[in-house]
Amino acid sequence: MIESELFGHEKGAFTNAIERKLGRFEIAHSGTLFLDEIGELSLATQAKILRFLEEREFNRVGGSKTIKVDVRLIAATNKDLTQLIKKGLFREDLYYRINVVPIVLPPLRERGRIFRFSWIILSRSSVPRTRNRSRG
Amino acid sequence: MISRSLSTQALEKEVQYLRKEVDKNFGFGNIIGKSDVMKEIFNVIRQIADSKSTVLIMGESGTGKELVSRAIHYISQRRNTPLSRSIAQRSPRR
Repeated sequence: MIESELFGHEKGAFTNAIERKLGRFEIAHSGTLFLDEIGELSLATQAKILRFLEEREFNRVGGSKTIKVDVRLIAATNKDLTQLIKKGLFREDLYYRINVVPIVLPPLRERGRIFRFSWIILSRSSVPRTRNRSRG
Repeated sequence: MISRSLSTQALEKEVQYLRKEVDKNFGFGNIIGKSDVMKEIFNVIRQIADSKSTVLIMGESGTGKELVSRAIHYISQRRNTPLSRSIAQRSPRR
């Protein structure tokens, strides 16, 4: 359950919650939280992250106490979030909240010569086709 | 007393050495790319590392999104604070 992993839970919040557990946001207090595949989050979890970004606070799952943390969020995705917004799978307001500093990493194939060289080496080392010459 | 201060010195040296190692492992060294695009990305990372603003890293899998996040954290003033990592899973109800 991603919501409990991120925000923690109180004892008895759900069936397997036998004790209180701290979430990633609390563990990362005063530091950085890297949240990968943010496009996979459910709309409910997205709402909690939006609240964190706006108020810098959250509640543990099943908890009534509001917890404030100082966390720098770095989100990542390999999805086109604007497409997910159109499909109604990603909150537009959250998108604008996380897209403060966008960094778009180009695919490796577009990163300079080293890969083209390796392609040349590979193609040169490939074994030429052998011809069967029949002696007459 | 003397032996204690000596061991403190040794510890400080060790800390320095380990810091350097960490920089090597988590700085820019691991990110592939000498093209202008990547140089521009390194510039952006340097500029925003110390701000608190939220970062969104986009890219195909295998392009080094996590490496970029580590670089940002370890060159920022937060380098001695925790870097926590979480991967969202596809929720089954969707």
